Amino acid sequence: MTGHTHYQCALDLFAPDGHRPDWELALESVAFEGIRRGHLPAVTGTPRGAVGPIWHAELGEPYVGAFRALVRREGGGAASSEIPTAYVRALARSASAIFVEKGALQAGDVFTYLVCAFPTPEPAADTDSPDGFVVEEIVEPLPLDEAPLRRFVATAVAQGPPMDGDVPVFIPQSVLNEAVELSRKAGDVETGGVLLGKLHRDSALPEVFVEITALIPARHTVSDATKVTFTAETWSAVETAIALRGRAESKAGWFAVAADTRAEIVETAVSRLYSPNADNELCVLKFRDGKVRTVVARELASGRIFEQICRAARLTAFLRDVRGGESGLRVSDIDAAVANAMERLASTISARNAPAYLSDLPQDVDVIAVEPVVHKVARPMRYVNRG
Amino acid sequence: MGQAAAAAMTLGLQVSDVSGQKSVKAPAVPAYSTVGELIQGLLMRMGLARNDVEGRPLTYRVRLEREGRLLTGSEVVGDALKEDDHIVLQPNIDAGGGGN
Repeated sequence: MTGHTHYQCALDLFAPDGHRPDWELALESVAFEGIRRGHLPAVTGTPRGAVGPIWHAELGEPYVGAFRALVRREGGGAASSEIPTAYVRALARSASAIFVEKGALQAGDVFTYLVCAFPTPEPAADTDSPDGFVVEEIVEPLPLDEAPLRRFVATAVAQGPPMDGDVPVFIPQSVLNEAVELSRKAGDVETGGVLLGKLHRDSALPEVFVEITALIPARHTVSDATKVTFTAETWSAVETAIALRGRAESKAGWFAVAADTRAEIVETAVSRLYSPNADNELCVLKFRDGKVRTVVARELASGRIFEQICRAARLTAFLRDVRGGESGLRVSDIDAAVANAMERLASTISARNAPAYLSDLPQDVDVIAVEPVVHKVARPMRYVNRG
Repeated sequence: MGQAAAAAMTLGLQVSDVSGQKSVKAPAVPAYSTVGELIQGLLMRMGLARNDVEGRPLTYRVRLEREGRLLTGSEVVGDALKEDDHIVLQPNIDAGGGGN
């Protein structure tokens, strides 16, 4: 076997070993989308619905091209959405362990999989309660304040490329600053916090959006260099904080800052901006007398630039997290932020304004042209010595 | 056993998850069961996750709102709780990158 061999595996979603997709999150997502668009009533409770296969366009049944999730609410209203097969990727990864154990795959091999679905009899309603009790769901209205979205947009700065389906989230700068401070104080262990906020609805659009109002540092966590665990005591402390604040806030989310990359992140940014061999040349000035001078990033670095880089990296991490990706700040975030900052810096310098930025230029010879430096690799990856 | 005796051996509770988005009434929880058994029964009935997104098992504890304290799994429902108590299921959640 080689690391380049590809495999095509079938993933039986109805295997008797209990490895079945948990559709709860998919149904919750569809339900929330239905609430946002005004198709479903804005209430709490477990969304009831069904998920069925959309057959593969070329292969047909039983191969699945995607799933369709449908949610209905008692009293009217329905919403549906297409769910990509990537939803069951974790199951595929888990199933691949069998092939690794048998030697058909090597750990780290790339493999492809197809999802199959087979009809099964509808499970009988669970009326049995062997441990002697039943529950009745309590459905309550969501705590939605009616507010015009435009009022929030008017005082906010959009960050990052917009994506279809994004829920608008408004975060005050003070909360971001607190998160940074929290990370600084944590030292060499991961840290985290819980975001409090309020849900608003603009019925005219219609849209539901989130206003973050505060950050509660996570207390009573179990932390090490690679993870932070929010315990039951953590949630109790947050509940107490919410009660003491008395502002009818809800838990809007939680976050972690990875400690294992903190030093790496700082070192990466510093290295990319200041290291002599870091491919951080921005542009070349051409003088009237034929001489040239290369401008490097460190000559234009400033506190303002650092702040912009940090803010951009944090935003990238945040957006990745809320879209279901990895949590926490990554080296790649700061790397991309520095690359963007360097591109902006390179375009800042012109023949006219160069003397304003660079104090050591000759007084008696004009700059007649500025040529950008073409980097061998547009976004180079750096390896930082952590020893 | 008469109905009155059976009722005396059960408790009515209100239960929420940590997000507050899922709440149920459990009108007749056996008073002789332990809090640990109650948690297992509630997880199943409320459709709460038993594993995190990485497949690691989640552990839950019960917070008793009336006293603001966390109950231990070995406590007996009839001793620790009163009729109409509100409890919250609070999980341990790995929020860091360790699992990534």
